[in-house]
Amino acid sequence: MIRFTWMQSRVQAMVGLGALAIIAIVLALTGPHLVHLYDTTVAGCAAQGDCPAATSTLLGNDNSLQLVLDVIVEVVPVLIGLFWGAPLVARELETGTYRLAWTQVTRIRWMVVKLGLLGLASMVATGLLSLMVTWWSSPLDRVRMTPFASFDQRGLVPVGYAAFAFVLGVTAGVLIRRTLPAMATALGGFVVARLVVAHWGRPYIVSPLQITIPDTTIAATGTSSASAGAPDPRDWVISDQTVNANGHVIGQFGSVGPSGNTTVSLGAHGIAIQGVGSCPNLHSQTPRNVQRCVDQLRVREVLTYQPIGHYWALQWSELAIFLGTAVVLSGFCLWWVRRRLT
Amino acid sequence: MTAVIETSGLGKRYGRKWGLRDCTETIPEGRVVGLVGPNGAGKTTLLHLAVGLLAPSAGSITVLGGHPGDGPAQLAKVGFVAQDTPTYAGLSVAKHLRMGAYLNKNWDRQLAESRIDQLDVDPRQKAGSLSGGQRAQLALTLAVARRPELLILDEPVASLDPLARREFLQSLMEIVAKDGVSVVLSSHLVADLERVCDYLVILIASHVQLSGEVSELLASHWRLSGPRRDPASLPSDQEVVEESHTDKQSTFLVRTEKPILDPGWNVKPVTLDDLVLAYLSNPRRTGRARKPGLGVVR
Repeated sequence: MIRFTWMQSRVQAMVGLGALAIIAIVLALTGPHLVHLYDTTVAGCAAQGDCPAATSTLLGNDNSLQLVLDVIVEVVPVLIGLFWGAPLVARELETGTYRLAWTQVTRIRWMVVKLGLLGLASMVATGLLSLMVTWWSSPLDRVRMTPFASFDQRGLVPVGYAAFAFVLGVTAGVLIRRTLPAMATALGGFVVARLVVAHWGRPYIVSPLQITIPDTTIAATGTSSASAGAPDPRDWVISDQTVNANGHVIGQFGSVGPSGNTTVSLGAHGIAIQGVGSCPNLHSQTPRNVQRCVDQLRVREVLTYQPIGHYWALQWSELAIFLGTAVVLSGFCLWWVRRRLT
Repeated sequence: MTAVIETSGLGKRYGRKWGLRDCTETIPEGRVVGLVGPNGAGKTTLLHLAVGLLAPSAGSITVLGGHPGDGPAQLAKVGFVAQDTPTYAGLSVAKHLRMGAYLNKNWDRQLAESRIDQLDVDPRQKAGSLSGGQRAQLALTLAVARRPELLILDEPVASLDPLARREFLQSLMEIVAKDGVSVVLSSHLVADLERVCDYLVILIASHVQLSGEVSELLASHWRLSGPRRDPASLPSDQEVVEESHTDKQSTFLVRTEKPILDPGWNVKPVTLDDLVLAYLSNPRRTGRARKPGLGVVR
């Protein structure tokens, strides 16, 4: 059955290997140049005292390839799910060849070998791709200091996405029994699952940290500006809430009110911050006085964030979520094919 | 008599509809069994139940003493050629043979290769580009080279032209003559079966209407014609399968084990075609109680 699977999937395997090889060659040709550029610009920039210039030199280089690579890493699991996963059972049912296959091998053995081998191949291929892209991007990533922005395209998680996408495709095919609708369903399901985990799972799967800092936004401009209050610029700020003395949330990102603009005015009762209160003791609206008023009224920012130290814990957790789901779905497929597809 | 297929109260339901119902039947070993019935009678359902592609909703089925599809040993005993003879369109003929070798312990490589040689097909040709006749022969080769004890074929010649049909059935006969393998073959055309079958099962509207040795069936059915008569006036051992009347004349197709003594009748033997057609067009009549020992159910 293993040899038969290889015989049947050889074309797909060759296409996959070919694509990987092309990407590997492109990265091998351009990667060392990036490393060299990093070493000659950013690595020694602190000593020369001109880091912003060095950084922009590096980031201006080869930006388009970086974009392409990120898209590829995002898309490969989807392609695996659509073109390896969905047709796996659906095409056999559609063309009637299941009657040829499942009267020679027990369908359980057929499923276990196919799911196992192709699932493994999906994971290895995506793992290699992610490894290459992670290596290639590392000089740029180090300079960008936003590792959470490229969380989905680096490290371990693409492997989990690939395994999940593959099995999701198989499951859709088993249930729907037709290739094209199964592909469409798998695509939709995959996108929804990724969004759900990214928005409601990833921020909280490892307990985020919380820190309260003084609000400096209102006094600085009177309008909103992103706060860089978290301890490390590489941290991922999940939420940044403005709270008043009672701890009630009164706005976001250091400003007050839903619009993001804080109205500060000077009246008979001194400086007034709309929605918070006034400071009768302060009678001129200088930035310094506004800041004093903000502090007097105890307006602060509460930051919820994932520190850079949680990065790998989050990678492992998300990998576990998707791999676990893939395993559960595989079990479901086996059961369904054995018990219900009769 | 050992049975290759034995069913008891076997039924298969698709949703609310029964594809096969209340089928109790014993198919003996060493025969070429023809399973006839109109489209939608449940032939495919019965055969799929026999190879384990379907699981029964009611009753039980035993094939060569085991449960269909129950493990590799059971699968190895039964060769199956499915309807429309499915093959992998993208795989070459040679790869199909390799598939057979990979998936089957008892694979007879020599047999498979010599059969493909005889077909005059380039082994490198993709199965998707074969003609219907060639594809059917490939499917038969794949089933036969597994060296099964029982060969089940579901309408293997339905989509073939007359020449390919004859060649296919000829191959099948050669295999039977050489290996003595038991065969169950379904068709809605009696002409196909007449040439190869020595045992017949008629399946109508998901019920087995009649079954038995072809020679016995032919020896126990007669066409009687003579002056007009009421069927009730016939002797009790003569069972009317079909009747037709004109003003003066009556024609009956009757089933009886005993000689027909009435001199008023013009007695003629029936062909298999007549017989099957009579049962196919008069399915209700066969619902009468029948004498045991004829292998008839319902």
